[in-house]
Amino acid sequence: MTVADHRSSRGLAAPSVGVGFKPEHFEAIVETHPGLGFFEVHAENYMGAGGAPHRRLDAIRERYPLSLHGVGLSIGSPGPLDRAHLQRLAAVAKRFEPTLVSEHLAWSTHEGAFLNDLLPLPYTNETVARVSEHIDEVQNALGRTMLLENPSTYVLFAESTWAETDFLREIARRTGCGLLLDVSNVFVSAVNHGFDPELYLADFPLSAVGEIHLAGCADDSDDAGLPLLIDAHNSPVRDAVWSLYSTTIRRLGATPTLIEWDNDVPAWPTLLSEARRAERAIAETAKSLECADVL
Amino acid sequence: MSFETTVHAFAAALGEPSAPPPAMTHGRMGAPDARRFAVYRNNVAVGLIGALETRYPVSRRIVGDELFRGMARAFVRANKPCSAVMIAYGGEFPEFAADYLAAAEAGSSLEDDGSGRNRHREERSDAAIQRAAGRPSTPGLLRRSPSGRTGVSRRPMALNDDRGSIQPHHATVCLADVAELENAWVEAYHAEDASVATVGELAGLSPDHLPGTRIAFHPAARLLRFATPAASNWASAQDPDHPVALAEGRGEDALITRPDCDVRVRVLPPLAYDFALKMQEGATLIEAFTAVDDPAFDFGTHLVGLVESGAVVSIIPGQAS
Repeated sequence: MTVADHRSSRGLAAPSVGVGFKPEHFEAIVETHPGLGFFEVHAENYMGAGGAPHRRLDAIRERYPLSLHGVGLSIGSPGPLDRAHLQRLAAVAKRFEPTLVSEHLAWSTHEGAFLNDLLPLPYTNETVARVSEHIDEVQNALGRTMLLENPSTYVLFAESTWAETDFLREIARRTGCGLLLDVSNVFVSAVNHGFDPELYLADFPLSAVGEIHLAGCADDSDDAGLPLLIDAHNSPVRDAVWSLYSTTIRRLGATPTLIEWDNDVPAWPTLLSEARRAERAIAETAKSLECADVL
Repeated sequence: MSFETTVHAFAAALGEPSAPPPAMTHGRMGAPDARRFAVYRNNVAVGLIGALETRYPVSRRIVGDELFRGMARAFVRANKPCSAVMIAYGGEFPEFAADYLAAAEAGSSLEDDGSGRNRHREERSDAAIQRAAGRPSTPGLLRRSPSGRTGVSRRPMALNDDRGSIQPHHATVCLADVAELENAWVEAYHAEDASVATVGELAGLSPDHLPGTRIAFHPAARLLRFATPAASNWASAQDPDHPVALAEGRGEDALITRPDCDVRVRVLPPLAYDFALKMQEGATLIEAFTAVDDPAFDFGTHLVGLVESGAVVSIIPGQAS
């Protein structure tokens, strides 16, 4: 079975750029009704029983398509999925009817305790099988395909036998799931592990990509004094990531793209300007491709 | 090494700050790297501590950032969330904080408060946003602190309080009560939606049906009885223009409601609380009035008050007697 093609627009009209919906921006959004492709939310924030969170998201959903991004399903766990949490995710998806649903290649729960971070896993025959099983279960429960996001990582595992791009390609092949290509995560991991992000992207199974994430990162260093980037989501997207993004959409075409700014959330105009920059990158790439066709 | 063994070793090292990075992990030098692993360890701790800071902003203001972080760090080490639904995490923190502060008063050392060096993925809750934007005021329903005390510092209040005006144990109880109120506020914020009954419906009841009338409470409505002036302390501690000043004095009973999106906190007179609690438990109007045991108790006014506050979703008339 070949990797399913997830490049169709999936009902998202151009422009297909979106931002994370943050409650502090709600008034600005409903008052100005900005032209955006979609809003994305963390599924877990809408797993309460009601109140303002649901009310606001209903109002957003009336006006825009939604992307539902889970952070707590722990698809990368060795043990079984938390069925109760999967049901909660399915309930949120049913309630808000998102156009896109995604989760992470990571684990976050261990022995019943939720660790509230996206933790890495080795890439082995055992883990590719286990992650694929989990994704099958998720897609069955949701009654739709999901997108799996590539991680940002700070450590590697000695026991890994698969390259990350091959690992993701194989999961997509086995399950028919799509991929969420987080270009910032590629950049962060590339700096952290000393590989060329362009080579990673050249090897990435782009036909499976249904969404792109772009986010800011923070600088740090490791024990050896080598640079370490932290996937902080707390700042504008760096120029190097914009460059990788242009390269990616040159190959992929316009793809739903999310500006992911979760910490130190800026004022609405700042977040919106990041989205407009993504739109310009798409337009410029499209134009340069047209020129190339003409020449 | 099996997948399960790897994750188990990783999780074990995460939970123990002094543990070396797991042997099967490596950085660019091909060996385990403590700073790289610390990113994960700090993300876990700082993320969970952040969730408590978001849930208990007033308590945090009362005790100060440093003491709050110490308490939160200790709580997080002992209490991991049992689900990924972080909006439900931390309900046991008020009781933990009381024990923690009591231990501090008794002279036990506090946990070392290392700062989280790394950034972390954090999702501010909707509740925090509402509070930051200015909690909706309900004029007349909250009494400001009556103490008039000025010049109270924001030092951690349980330690070295040389003013002597508030006994340390009372300050601890005050803080725990405010934290309980905050927790109930968050629960109300996320509670199920329901349409509220109206005063018009109440007015439409015939006198024959009144004694046997029952009411059904809104899922968000909560009644809390405190031994300290918790609601007043909660309100006054939010005022950014004034230093925190915890009031002494008698306890308060609070009614929390959320008829629409906004959470409201009211102080109830003691008999009104007793009356409301009976009604919440399913008593008829006559049963609740009898339980209050005060012929002067104006049950009509208090019943109207309950309905007006948004605490009631349905009024079930009694049978004509």
